[in-house]
Amino acid sequence: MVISGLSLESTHTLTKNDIQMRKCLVLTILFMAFAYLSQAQNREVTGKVTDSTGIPISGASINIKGVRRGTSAGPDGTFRIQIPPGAVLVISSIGYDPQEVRPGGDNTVTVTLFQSNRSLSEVVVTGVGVATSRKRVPIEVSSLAGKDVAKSSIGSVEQALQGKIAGAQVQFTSGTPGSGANIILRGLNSLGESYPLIMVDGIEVSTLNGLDLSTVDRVEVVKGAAAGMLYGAQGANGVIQVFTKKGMHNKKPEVNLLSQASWGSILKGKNNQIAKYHSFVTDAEGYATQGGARIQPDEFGSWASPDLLDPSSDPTVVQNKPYKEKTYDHLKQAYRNASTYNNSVNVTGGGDRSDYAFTLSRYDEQNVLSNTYNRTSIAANVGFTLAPGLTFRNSVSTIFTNENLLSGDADISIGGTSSDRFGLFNSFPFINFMARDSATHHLVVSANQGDNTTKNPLSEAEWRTRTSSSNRIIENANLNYKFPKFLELDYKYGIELWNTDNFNYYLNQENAPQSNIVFWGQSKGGSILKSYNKLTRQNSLLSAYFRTDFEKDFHMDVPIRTTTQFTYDWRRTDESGQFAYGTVIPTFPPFNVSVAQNHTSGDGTYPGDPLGISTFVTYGYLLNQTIEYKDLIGISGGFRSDYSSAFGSGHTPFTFPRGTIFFRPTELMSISWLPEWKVRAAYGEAGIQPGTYDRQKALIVAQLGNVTTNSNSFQVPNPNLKVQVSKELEIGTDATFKTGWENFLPSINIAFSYWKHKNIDVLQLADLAASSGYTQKLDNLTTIDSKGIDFSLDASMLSVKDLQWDFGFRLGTTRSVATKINNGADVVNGIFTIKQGKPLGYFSYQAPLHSLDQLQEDGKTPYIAASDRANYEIVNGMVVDKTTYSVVMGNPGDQKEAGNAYPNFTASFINTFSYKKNLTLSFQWDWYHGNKIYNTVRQWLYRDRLSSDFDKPVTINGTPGAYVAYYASLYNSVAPSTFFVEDGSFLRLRDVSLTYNLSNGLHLKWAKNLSLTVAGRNLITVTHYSGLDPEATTTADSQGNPPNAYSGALKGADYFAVPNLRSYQASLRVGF
Amino acid sequence: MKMKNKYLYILLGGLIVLGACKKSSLDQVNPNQPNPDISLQSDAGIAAYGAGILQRTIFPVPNEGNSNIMAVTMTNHSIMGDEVFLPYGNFSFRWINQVYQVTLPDGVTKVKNPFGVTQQVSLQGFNSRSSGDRNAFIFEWTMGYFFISQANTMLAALSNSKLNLAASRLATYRAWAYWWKGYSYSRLGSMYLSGIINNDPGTGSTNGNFVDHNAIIVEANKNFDSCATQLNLIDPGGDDDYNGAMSTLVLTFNNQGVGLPTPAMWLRQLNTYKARNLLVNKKVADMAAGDWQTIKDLCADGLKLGDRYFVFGMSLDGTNDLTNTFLHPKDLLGPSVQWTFLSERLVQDFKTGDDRFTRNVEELPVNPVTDDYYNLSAFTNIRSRGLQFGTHYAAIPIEAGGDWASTNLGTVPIGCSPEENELMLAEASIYLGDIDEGLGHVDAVRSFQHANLADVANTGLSLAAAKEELRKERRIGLFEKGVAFYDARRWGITAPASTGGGRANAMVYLPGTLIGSPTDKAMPCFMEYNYMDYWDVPQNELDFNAPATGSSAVKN
Repeated sequence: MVISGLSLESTHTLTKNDIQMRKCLVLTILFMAFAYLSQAQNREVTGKVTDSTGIPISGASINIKGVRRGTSAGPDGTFRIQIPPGAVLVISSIGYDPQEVRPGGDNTVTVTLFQSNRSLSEVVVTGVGVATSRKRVPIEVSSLAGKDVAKSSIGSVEQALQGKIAGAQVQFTSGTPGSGANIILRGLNSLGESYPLIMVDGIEVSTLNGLDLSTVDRVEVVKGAAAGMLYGAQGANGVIQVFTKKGMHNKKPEVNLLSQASWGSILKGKNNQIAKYHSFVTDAEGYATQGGARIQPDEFGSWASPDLLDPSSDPTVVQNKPYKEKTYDHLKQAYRNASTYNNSVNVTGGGDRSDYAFTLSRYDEQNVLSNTYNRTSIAANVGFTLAPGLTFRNSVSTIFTNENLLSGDADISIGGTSSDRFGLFNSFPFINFMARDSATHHLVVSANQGDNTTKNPLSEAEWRTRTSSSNRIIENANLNYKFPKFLELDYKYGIELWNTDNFNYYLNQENAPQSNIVFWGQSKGGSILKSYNKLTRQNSLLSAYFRTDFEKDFHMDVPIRTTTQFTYDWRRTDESGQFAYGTVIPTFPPFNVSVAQNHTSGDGTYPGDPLGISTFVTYGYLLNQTIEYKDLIGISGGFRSDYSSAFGSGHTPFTFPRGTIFFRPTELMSISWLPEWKVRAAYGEAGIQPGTYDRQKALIVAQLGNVTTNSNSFQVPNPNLKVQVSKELEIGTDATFKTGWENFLPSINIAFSYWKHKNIDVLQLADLAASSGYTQKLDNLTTIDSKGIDFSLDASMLSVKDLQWDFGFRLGTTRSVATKINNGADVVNGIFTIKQGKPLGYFSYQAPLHSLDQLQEDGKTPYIAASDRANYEIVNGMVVDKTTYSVVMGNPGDQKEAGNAYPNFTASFINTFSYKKNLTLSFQWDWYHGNKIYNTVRQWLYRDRLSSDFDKPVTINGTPGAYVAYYASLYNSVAPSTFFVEDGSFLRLRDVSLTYNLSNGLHLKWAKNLSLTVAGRNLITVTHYSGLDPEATTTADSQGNPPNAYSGALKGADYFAVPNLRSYQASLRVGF
Repeated sequence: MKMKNKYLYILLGGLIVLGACKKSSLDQVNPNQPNPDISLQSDAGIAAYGAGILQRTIFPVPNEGNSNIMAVTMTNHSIMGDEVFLPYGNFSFRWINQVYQVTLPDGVTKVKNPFGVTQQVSLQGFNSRSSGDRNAFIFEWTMGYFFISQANTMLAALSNSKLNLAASRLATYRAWAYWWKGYSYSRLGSMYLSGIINNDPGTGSTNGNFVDHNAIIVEANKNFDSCATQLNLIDPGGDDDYNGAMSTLVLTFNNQGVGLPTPAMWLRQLNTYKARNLLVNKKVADMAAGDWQTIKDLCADGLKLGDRYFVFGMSLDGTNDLTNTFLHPKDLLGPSVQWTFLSERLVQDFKTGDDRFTRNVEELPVNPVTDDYYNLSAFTNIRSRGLQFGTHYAAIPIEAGGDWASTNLGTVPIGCSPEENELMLAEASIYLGDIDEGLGHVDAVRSFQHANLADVANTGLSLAAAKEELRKERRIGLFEKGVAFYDARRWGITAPASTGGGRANAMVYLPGTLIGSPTDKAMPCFMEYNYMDYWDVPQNELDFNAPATGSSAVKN
């Protein structure tokens, strides 16, 4: 028997007499009931609560309807309760639809609770200030409970969120261990980072990255300023709040063990990237030559560059020669299969006046390139009831990470920028990166004689050791006092301490092979950089809630509830670092900074670190008033005012207003197929702070020789920076449909939101004329308009005896347009452009001509004079010169639109099938649609004719051939061209898992839960994208440098990133 | 209940503590970087700021990250002057270095560059902000105005009455600022069609009055004169204040083995530079006797061989210098970077028996053998980018006894060198008819550089032969000394062939496939460079600073 947990009230208007009468009646009944209960013969009922898959629901509440008495289910889902005759039990648990049961004569009940995919009985906190029943929440708050986490996600909260939240783009742009995800909630609100505010149990922390999934109970996500306003000047990008696991009063200790193992290898796409054929000048036997002589590796394994057949003297040169030399698959040489292990133990329980949850977890991940990353997390969450109404809760997570990853990346700490992985991929196939020097047996460092700046990343491990270990403590103390009436006071203090030790050692390479031409690090003599970085983030929140219930508190006959919230919020972030740096290291141990021939030290984490020490302070207060009439309608309004050391010259506050409304027509009507329907609207403003010292006049400090010099920055200072403001309007509806059919599609839940952002005073680094002495100025110049929809649907598709099929669908669309930029002048940054009136993520470049009569940018001059057109033809949609076989490019200034780095929509499809409560199969497809990628890798591969495109014949002058001139003309010296913009849409099988619940099947006594899961992640990708992984995109320009600013607005370049992994998992869960 | 009260008091106490948060806590002063309003009020702050003027050469070039734009600029002059070549597209080098056409030894076959257009067409095509680092016009322009801006700020700060400096120290700082302004306007006026004269003291404003390059040179010389005025206030041999200030202003890696110039040497540098400003901004054919005499007069009191002058160096282990690990002319040519390569056209300008050739040039072996220093064999037409991009020579690194190429060793002049002064004296004398006097200066440079060549003065050389000696010596003696492009321009070599430009008998290392030979070979060709004389003002400037009415032309 399934009964909705929502009570429907009749809608007739009550008269004053009615109410008086009712009051009397209720009191009489209560009195009588009490009398009856104290006298009547109770009976004992035992029972068990499980979910639809048969897994016990520990801690489910069992209450006797109409009586303030109940119990909770034990860890195995069983309970025992004394009930009066005829009593009805209400069984509920967060995340499930509650059920009412009238125990039968045998005094036992078995209750199956069905997951309510968007349970309206749930309570949410984030973005509403105070725990509010979901049915009365006026904004969209998405949540993810532990049970909804894809089984293939290991250890990472970010992985767990992927595809689960409509309108949240959670993208891993690298398969390197420890890489965080790029998270965008509802489009872009600034040109900078889009990363949302991250909170753990109500307290701000630095990042979601590194938080251990096993400590997490559930996650709430609010996506825009309407909810983010509560967080003021830091809330505009939305908020992701993590709630850590808690124990429960009067609960025996329950132990849950999780052991997971994963094996993965990089995604390689479906295409061969590297050409099978070549077009080198060869000798009679077909071997590649240089200057007439056959090329061969020298004693180090380094190869001369072969001479290329020159299409400028013979345009009909084709690429069709098979390699006579032995060739190597460089991806295979570089990347191994990597394994990951994750083990956690979690103990929860509680006594009369306390509860506890402890988690210990250990996570070990191999990098596909080399070395490892590991993390140990210890978390404790304890709560005490100190006095009636007075509770204290302390939650602390300690996260230790250690990694010694080497990724072939240039060392940014010493000014290096582009990645050396470049050389691995972008090199002649006959080069063997595993070649060793014949005398010293070291791996070749420079494998290509013509290109000494590109090193063999695989040799890095022989010459470099680096480690980074960090201790991160997230401490959160909360004291809460609820007065018997009206007032609740709550104080939270959170501190995140994050200390990192880095060690970076390049060996002395003075005697290394090839060291006269190439060496790792900055100095041939080697170097050691030791640095220590300390971050302290404090957050102190004092809140007072004043609640009234007109009926209860004032005995008025109006069903009105009010909540007034006042919060004082203070945040401070301190960061500092010190480094010691030594160059020219002896060849004998010990290896430390002291023994280095030259050494230097300073603030920050590397020589020249511009922000070695920083302190950021912001504080503000919030006043928010909510008024609700029954559960029918509610409005709220308020404002938050913030001060910050980063804006308003340090003294001018900024005030963010807010207002919300919800209306539940279901309170007024009784429609069986529509048991729940809410419409809601919210408006709010929130901010994004400028950089800590952006508003201050500051000279660049540089150590030059033995002098510490000062110089002007290329940015003109601007003391009057303001906070960037995002104004959001959100309109939405939540509804539950019941079909009345028993088996097929019994219920559907939907949530729909339309949202619109206007972001004003967005910071822009506006270009200036260089003759002013500066080339840029940071100012609040830009306006960005975004809009989109978020849609979630959760349906129970099929519910027959042994089979249960649940389906979830998430859809988010977004488009952010730069409606105003300074002077209307394009912002150009590497391959990225921000153009007024165009969406952010805009790609616009020089383009190959597409028609013979195409006009130049002036709109009148044809590119090709009419009399010359016979010399040209169209090949693959591009104009080709029939004499040179080259594609004709338009002028560099004639920019053509080539799409957008951001998807038109992201969607996911989640299916779960349960059979006989023991076997669960689930899979999740994630879909990105309409996003474009600038395939920088492919363009680089055109340089040396390495791209597999060069193997493909085209027809020019009526003759097919893999013409070198045709392809080489498109390389264009890495000048951006629309030709290399590709459709990056993909549909990816994010998760597939099969879980078998042994405890049910085997009737184990000792285990309350024992399940085995096999899962896969990223197993199938359907895409037209020609590169390795359409998700592994970055903000790098053609040389691999990050942009100076606007990292948020500039995405979608494929620059030699480590692709995500295709992986397989096995996991075992044990609970007892 | 008492218990409860206790906690309430704690809560209230907490509230009061929080309420005590003061607005003053918002006054977070950047603890990492000085505020110029404060730092420039002290001697040490001025010195650090003066020394930091060269830090402005480190600029976040679009697509390239932080790069030394002075090294880029110097390299541009070297590759256009065909001392070295650079076949890569970074910083637009490949297009700056794009020879229009090479006529093969058969005198008939003409091979155009792969783009088929002149340097001007390419560079103008890239003159937009969206072209990023491919816009060749931005580097020297940006560097010049960055220097000028910082020098202007420094001069304004030096007028602050709170600053209590000894007269000689004040004069040294002012001379330093005027020197950089004079230097910057000289470079701008010698490279761009027109420019801006900006005396804004660092507030970030500019003006739209573009004046032609001759007017910019006038402004340059004016600043050199102001510099001289200040230097004349100091003891010619330097005093403690001068030396104290200069030991900070001249960065240590720019001072290695060179030492600090005295005020007298610095004054001579100004004269040499003024002579250069005249010499390089007129075609040699247009030089009048009066021009030559002016040069002779200026150079008579110009840098003397052995004088110390301002140079751009590197630190030994690549730390705390301005190269960003590679951007220095010697490093670019050196074994580890190998971005620039010795031009066949430079090597052919050595006289037989020149010790500088023995010291500096090695012949690259032919594949499959590679040379000792570079792990390189001779190559032609690299990546099919043009016939000028091939060579069978490399520069012997300084580490192995050479002078020109290195990994972290050596210096190049920022302004003029004594050799340049000497050869300007030589040229002026030769053109004024004093051939042997002129050749004496050529000999002086050769012996100063240990060329170990027989003297040519008083050997009865004809005027044409004397000019050829001078031309060769300017090529070899002033290698990497900043004049290669100016010379090629004023000698008419970079002009279109149709107007008499180009170089006959220019050695080109040709692919065997092109000349029907089993091996690659260096052979004499006709090289038509067809380069722009003066560059366009970068569009990056014009997008935000439209020329005011009456402005001089900003584009070719």
